[in-house]
Amino acid sequence: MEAEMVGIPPQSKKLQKSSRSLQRITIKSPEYSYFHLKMIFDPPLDTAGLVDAITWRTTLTNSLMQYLGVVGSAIRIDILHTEGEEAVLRLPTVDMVKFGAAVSGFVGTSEGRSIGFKTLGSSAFLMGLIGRAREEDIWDGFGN
Amino acid sequence: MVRYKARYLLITIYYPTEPTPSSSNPTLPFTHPSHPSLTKQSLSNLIRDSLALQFGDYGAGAAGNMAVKYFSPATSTGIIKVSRAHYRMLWASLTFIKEVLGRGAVVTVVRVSGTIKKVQIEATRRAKEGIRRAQGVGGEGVGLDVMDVMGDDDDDEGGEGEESEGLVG
Repeated sequence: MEAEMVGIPPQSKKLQKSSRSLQRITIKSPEYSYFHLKMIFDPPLDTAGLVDAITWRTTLTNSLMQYLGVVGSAIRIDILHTEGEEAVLRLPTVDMVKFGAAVSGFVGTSEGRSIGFKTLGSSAFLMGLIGRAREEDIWDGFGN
Repeated sequence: MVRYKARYLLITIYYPTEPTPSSSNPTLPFTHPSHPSLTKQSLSNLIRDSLALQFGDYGAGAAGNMAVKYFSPATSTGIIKVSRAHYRMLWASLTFIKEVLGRGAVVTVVRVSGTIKKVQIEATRRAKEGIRRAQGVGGEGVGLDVMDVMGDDDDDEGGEGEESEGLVG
């Protein structure tokens, strides 16, 4: 990631010593963005659901190919981590919006099951994806 | 009222994999007449297929509001109208076309303009240039009915007083 020092306000000589440890850094245009996706199945997988990286790769390519064609399927997706039915992906920030659209609207089939994606989070920084699992708990208690 | 802005692309289809007929003009390489069954409709379908393949549902929808305004199989020259926001996507899908009706082909965009008038002028200019070169080299006429380049429709020319961008290929 490239960092730029932007607009650090001029400081009086008096304060300079104590505030030397404080710096403000602005990252203007990150090259990559990160997605946290979950693959959802209908009917659901067995309790010990595990989706391997190859299945992720083929399903993602299918969804991109359908919505964005050959040019869209060339978007560079890196599968950083898979765990159970979830995965963390990295892709160029310029493709983030289109990828999000492709993934949201995709419905596929495999072995008699319908497959879809649920976006658990997306962010320009990997740190922005963690700690989001609790957001789902907001909906507990509704319609039960 | 926001005006609908369009771009008109002047295209030429070349068939570089085919041997040049001995009677054709050596100063216009790779130019072959297209098959007469390559009409405006069939060319439009070809372009839409390429758009759907290269850019998917998104591309087919975005640049799908396109029309082949003119096409002459004799000169393999055509004019395509497409919305301004997505004309580059259409241009790219034209570039990716590999074959036309079973013949290996290359589609080139010769000129882009905001009005159909400028594109028509360019097409007639190129046709005249071709004839001039043919007569200069061979001493004989080309024999093609190239002056009949602008035979048909001249629609929506009246209200479009826009700027044109010149891109001469």
